[in-house]
Amino acid sequence: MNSVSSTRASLLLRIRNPNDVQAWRQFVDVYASLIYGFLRKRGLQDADAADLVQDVLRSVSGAIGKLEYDRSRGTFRSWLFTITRNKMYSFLESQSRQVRGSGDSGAIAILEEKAVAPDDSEGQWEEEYQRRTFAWAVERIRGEFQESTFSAFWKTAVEGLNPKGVGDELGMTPGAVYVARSRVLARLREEVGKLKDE
Amino acid sequence: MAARNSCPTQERLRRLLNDSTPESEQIELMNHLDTCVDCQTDLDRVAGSGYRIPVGAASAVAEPMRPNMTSAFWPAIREVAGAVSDASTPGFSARSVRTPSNGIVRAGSPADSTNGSSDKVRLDFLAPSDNPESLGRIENFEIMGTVGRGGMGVVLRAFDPCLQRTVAIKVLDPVYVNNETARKRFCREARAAASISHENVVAIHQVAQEESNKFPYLVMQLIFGQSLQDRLDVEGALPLAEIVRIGAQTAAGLAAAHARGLIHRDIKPANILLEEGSGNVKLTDFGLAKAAEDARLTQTGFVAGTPLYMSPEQAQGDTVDYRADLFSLGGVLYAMATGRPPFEGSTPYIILRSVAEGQPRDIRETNPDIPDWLANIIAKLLAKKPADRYQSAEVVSEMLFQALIMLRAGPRVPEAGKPSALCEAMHPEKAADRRVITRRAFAASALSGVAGFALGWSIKATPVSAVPTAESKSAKPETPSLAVIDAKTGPIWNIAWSAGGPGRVATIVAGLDNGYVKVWNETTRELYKNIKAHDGPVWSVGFARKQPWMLTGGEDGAAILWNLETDNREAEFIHPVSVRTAAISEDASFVVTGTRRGGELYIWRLNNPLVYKKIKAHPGIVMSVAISPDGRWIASAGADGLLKLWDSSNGSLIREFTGHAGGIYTLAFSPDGKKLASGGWDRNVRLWNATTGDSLFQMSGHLQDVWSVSFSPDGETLISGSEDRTVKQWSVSSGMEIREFRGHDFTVYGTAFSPDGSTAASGSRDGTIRLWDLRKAE
Repeated sequence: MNSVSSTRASLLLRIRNPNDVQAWRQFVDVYASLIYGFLRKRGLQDADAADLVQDVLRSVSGAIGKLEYDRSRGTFRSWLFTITRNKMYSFLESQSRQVRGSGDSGAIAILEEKAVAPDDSEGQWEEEYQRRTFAWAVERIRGEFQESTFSAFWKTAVEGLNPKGVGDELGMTPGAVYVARSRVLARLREEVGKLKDE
Repeated sequence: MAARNSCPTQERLRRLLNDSTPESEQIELMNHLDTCVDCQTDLDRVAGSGYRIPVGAASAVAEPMRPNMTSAFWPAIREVAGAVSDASTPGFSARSVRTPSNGIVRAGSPADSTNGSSDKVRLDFLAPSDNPESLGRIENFEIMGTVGRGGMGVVLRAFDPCLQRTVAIKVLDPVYVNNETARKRFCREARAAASISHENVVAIHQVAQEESNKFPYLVMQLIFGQSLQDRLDVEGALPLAEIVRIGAQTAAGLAAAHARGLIHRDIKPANILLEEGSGNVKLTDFGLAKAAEDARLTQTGFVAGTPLYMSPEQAQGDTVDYRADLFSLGGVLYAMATGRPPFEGSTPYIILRSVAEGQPRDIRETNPDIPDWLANIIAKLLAKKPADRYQSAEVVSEMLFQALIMLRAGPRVPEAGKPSALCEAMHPEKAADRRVITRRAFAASALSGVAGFALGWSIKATPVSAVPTAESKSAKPETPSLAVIDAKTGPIWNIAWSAGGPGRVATIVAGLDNGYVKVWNETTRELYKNIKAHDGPVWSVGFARKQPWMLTGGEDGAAILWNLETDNREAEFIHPVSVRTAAISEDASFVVTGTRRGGELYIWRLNNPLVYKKIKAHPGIVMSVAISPDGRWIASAGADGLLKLWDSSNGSLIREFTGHAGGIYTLAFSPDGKKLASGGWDRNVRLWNATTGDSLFQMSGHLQDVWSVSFSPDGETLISGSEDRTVKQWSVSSGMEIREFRGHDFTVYGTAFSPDGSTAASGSRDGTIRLWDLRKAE
């Protein structure tokens, strides 16, 4: 099942070229940070999380070069999630054996909890992904807008404030607030859309 | 709606968004937007186009998006990005090294100082070195970096200046250094492991004890590659040839070790290394699991090793011999076949219980591509009692290597000459439960791979032409159809039309080549359901008259009765070969199926789906089967050109109908049960007196093979679908052709009437269903 993507090469295709530094940078910013953030939230220390990020990215890089990940099985990010989660479990498991060997019951208890905690992690992953792509897109487009325009968007669309109040504060008519907000939103949507296929 | 007149169009709003509106107009629009709520909403919608701002967006932006500067994340990323963009080291081979019993790898990079400082492995036991690039020394080995950490110790990447080669050095975890028993065992087992010389076992060069600090260490071959677990993480279940290859090589490595009296005890995907490039298996960590166990048992009573692949005897603390490794091998094969370990659980205790007492899920449920002989081998390896398993890794490896040869050779390799163990696996002596035995074709064809079935396999000497020839295409124009339903998924092999009822939608269904059945609402013609019914083509679809049930028959050997209202399967009938045709009696008390190979008819009573009556009906394929409306008779037609009538209660042959010159592809009973219609290779549609066997009419007109016939609900007319791409309607009383419908691009494989007889439907290899209005005059 291969959907025909637009002529604009998706990020995933571009990273098959190890020399496309820009694509790799983007990939790292969006996905590597996602993996890292997820692992930290699950209680891993900085060094361990970094190790696993490296692990996952290496696997992905190898796999993307050799095989077409099966799109019919789901999105790239859910595939990434599966790999991340598997590696995390392997890590926790091997870590647990050392801890058990040491006989430290407190540490063992913590580990048990980490390994066995009820798993809505895929839901969390997805939310985290949406938040990150949003943040990433915001970072990229922010500079294109005037401060007041961006504020109009931010205060109404993100903070949910009343457009009339925001307009008063910023010295804009309600109509202007709507236009400002919509312009930023449209640009945001476009930027996030660049990651769409994943 | 009057207020809407002053509102801008969507187009104008869009232009406003991308700033291509002139200034004056912009001001005007903005004024309008001050108050017009409709337009505010519209504008939002045009801009957002479905994008939803995520929950917690504010904090997402407020929080630093990336780890802070001192995090280990950055060196890790630099390493990855560097390795990727460095064209001279494709992939990560130069840096990624996998070792057993750990899931973490950190490529040592001494030049990167941040890497060194965040290195969690404390290497203070190393002796100082003169070499600025090295991290330290063990005896004369220069330690270049860490490779990873496992349960037993630390693995380092080292350089042997004497032999000028890179090696891996495994240092026993300091925890065990003081445990005399553990150390002695470690050394003894390590020495035995060092004596194994086999291409599937990581070579151990040296076992020694460091001079000053007295810690034992192992010098071994450094393997570039990944572990099988890594591969499973990424790929999930592996292709059949890979499963067999990796299994064969692992078994070979085990055989070499067992021959030396060594038991691995911790065989699992993480301990099976796959060498970079060749993918060859390298087993490692032999016998070392036992040393660890001794140490731990004295401390905490905890059982070492992952319980996931552990044998029941290990799990229960019984005596363990080399057959425990065979159980684990079975577990590894299982994991390669399904992507998951055979026994799972959320705590080690639950897993152990499952290993000792539970049964793994049937492989073919998760992965129907796994042939029976492999599933049988895996099942035998996973036997709870060691005595029930294969008794030697040697035998298993031979078996799997032979299977690999046959897989690679394809269908041309003769069956004779296989090792007997493999023969046994393929044709188990035990009479297995028929439900479990096979949905797949028999062993020989399984080994040769599933051959693609050519659409329209030919019976005649000349191949059936699917492409419309120039003459027939341009000869006559299309006839207007009432509607065209495009199934959009390739050839339609059969169609049916169900009656509606109170609370029930009347539907048109099509059995598709890709295994799906699509169901359309008859009136709106919208797609109502899309059901994955079979693996491989759905050869037949039909409805029971008295129940809202649909019967499908497929290439995968199943005939399934679906309740379209509840989406449940009312019954499922499993055959050892593919089901070419199926029919259900009007009172829905029994089902008849005909098979593609072996020419057999099965009669299944619905009150007991496990028992059936089997009739050897035709020498070849049973192409079509029909049940008389009163349920007393079954008619079957074969590719052999014979049409037979059977007694449905006892399966005895009542009569044969002769006349067709060539294979018969389709059959139908008239609504009053007195007549039978048939069509096939000789391009004729024939009408028979079902009671006497006399031929009533031989109706010619089609230019090519006839693939489908259906009676109208009032029994007055008949429609036929043909390879000539037309649908013809005939008078039953006179045998004359009434009219012809043209429009399909390829063979018409299925025909049906609407329950009220006003419309005819035809389904074709062109992937469409066309509806023809029968009430209109020609």
